Amino acid sequence: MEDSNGIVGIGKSIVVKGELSGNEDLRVEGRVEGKIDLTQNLLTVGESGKVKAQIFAKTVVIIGEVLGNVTAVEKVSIQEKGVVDGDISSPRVAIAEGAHFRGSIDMRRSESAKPAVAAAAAGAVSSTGPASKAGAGAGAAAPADGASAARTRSSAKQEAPPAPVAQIHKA
Amino acid sequence: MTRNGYLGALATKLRRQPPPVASVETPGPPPETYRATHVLSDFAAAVRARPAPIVLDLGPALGGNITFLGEWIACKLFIEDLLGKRPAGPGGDDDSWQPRLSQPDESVDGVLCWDVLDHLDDAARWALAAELSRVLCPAGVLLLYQRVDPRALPGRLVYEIAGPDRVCLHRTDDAAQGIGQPLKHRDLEAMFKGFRAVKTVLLKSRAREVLLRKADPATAAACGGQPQGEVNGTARSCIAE
Repeated sequence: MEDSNGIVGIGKSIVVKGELSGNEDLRVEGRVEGKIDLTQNLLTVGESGKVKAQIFAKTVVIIGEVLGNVTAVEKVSIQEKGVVDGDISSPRVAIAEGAHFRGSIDMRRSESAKPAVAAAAAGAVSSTGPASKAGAGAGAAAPADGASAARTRSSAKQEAPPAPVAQIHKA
Repeated sequence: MTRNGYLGALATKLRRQPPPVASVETPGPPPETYRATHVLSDFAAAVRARPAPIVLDLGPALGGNITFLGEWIACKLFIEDLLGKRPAGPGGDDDSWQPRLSQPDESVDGVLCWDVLDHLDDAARWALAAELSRVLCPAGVLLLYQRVDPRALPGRLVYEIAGPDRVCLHRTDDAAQGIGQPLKHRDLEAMFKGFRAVKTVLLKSRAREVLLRKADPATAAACGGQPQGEVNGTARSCIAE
């Protein structure tokens, strides 16, 4: 479904469970659970959007609710009424007054992470949501690892035959 | 437009304007006050010099702090709003509460501690000092900003970085957050044994900024066993605006 700006949207009554990936900007007003992979595009979680997923995108704008880790290549912006419960990894992060955030923010541009911390956190890297915050390095290697993992995933997707990974239900 | 036409249009426009309303005092948003900071840039420089730095901010998540720390330090940031998550007891604060930090030992390069110690009782202050000593890396830095005279700005304040040399103080409505006895420098010396005061600034706004650095045994060994972690060895102290 596209809006007047040509941006694909997931409507308020739509529930998606599984993995979402693609090469277009996406606006979520419904519910998504699983994983969103838009490493070259903009993801907007709208006012009524509720995302319980790991997010990988170029830019993420959050007006609704996100429960899970967010990795952005360029920027994460949490707007006035936005709620994020999870770790953010992005070189630029903006949090508006009134936004709710719980988690850690990794804005490091260097790809090297602390070996000791990374080792200490190795057991804790599971990691969706605040549980990963206990290990300081849980997301320490997230920018590099997340990006490379996303690249690996996308190349694997190109080689492998497409599989139905998303289920769409009417709420 | 003729003169009559212009005047007529003007008269019509004036007639349409609503009558002036008497100003009514309404409670606005909490007042904001800008204050100078003379140690934040030193803190940023010290943390930025470390590889893949990790910073712990003991306050609420504020856009100004996150933007500054991202642009100036490019660090990983943990936010632990200690006062925000302190359980409130029947009389306001829970006296038995003691702060705990979830970070592993020696995993943090810098800690921002704005005005937190002021709101804790002695037991909680000592517990927090021990926690900060635990989580800070050797040679890690701790920025303390505290009021010398609580009467100057009563109540709980939230500090938002407005630049490398300025912070914006937001007054909160949290009446439960009383202020304990102001800490003296010798209290800090006792609480943060093993730290060295890199810079101390007494502000004319009746606040004190202190930048402490945790002892680094490796550096001490390289310096021929000279003690590097004594808080008594204040390197720079001054009075500023």
